[in-house]
Amino acid sequence: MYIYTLIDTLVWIACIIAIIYIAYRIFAWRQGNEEIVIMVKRRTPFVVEDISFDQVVLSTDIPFVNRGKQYGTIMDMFPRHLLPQEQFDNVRIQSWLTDAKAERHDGYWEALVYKQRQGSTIRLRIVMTANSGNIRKDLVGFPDMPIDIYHQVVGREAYRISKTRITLTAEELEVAMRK
Amino acid sequence: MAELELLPIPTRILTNKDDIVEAIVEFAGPYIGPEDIVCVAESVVAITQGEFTRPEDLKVSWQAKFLNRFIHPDGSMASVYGMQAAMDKEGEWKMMFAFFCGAVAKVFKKSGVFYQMARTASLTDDVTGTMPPFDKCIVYGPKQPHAVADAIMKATGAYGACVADVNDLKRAAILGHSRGLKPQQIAQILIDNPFGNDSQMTPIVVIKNYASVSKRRV
Repeated sequence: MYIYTLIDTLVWIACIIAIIYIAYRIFAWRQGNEEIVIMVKRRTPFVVEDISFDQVVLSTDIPFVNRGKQYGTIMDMFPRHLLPQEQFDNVRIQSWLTDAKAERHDGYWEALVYKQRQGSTIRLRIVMTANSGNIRKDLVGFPDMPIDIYHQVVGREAYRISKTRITLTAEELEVAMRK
Repeated sequence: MAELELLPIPTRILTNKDDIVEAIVEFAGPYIGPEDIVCVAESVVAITQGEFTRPEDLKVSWQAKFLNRFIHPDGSMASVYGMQAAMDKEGEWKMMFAFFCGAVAKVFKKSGVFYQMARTASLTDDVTGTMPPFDKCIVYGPKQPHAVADAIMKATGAYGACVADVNDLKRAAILGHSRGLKPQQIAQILIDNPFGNDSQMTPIVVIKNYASVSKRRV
């Protein structure tokens, strides 16, 4: 008899724990998380910011927004350009980014909280330096260059590190250089 | 007649390699008189004491994942890492207990019980809470703030010293102070946040002429 009472009690406890857990999962699901989105389709075309005989600085503005239901903190963000020497070896490239609304010049991303529907604009800069000393000559034959933007974001849940890709196409570079 | 004056003192970035008392003497020493009170931002005291951690270094427990969901988004405990950092200091089960006590107290319209019971939770600043390079760190409250305030007072020859927690939301609290000071009065003087919480780099504020003004008011 006692064994049935014990089993009955354990089943009740298990059921209560299960109900609490399910209720919590539903609550968490409804509460949601951040959803920081980098809107690559809305980025501006690359423009020449500065040019000298051996170097050109290009920039583009890329908006981002928090579409999620919770605050999102961008803890870090940085670009990674992908142009292997096997593909093109005429220029040396540096890339860095900053928040266009609070520009920094050290490549450091200051962690910031973005509320729901709040965002800002990334200003991405590419510095190309000619190996031969003549940037216009060395950029002839420049291929499409992907640039991954890595960002570490945290909201209500564990942080995530994501990357979003944009591409500096040969045609876009040509148009920018012509202007 | 001398009047109260708040004098923010700029410094370089202070790190865990600095001694807060020596830094105050170095940067604020010439501006401090015997009638003055030296106030220092609590987060900077904590940083010089090495009281910070990176979210990446924390192992998040299920308790932190559970509790952080119930905290207002403006609070440092709303992130799992802020919550876990506080739990590492206070203990997971103590924080759970404090939370449930706080929840019960809220039913009876008493707020703030969670933060009273889990003191670390109220003193911990989540990422973005301080200026670079510690903006990517979780900064705890300072250790032994009263002793720090006493040491500052002795080293500078000031009338008094305090460790203050002030923000731009018109909230000010004195975490530690030298003997004889009235913490609530000083908190009121600092309510407009003369430290600045962003990149102003003024973690020290000297309240000039405090002694003579307070005597006059008495």
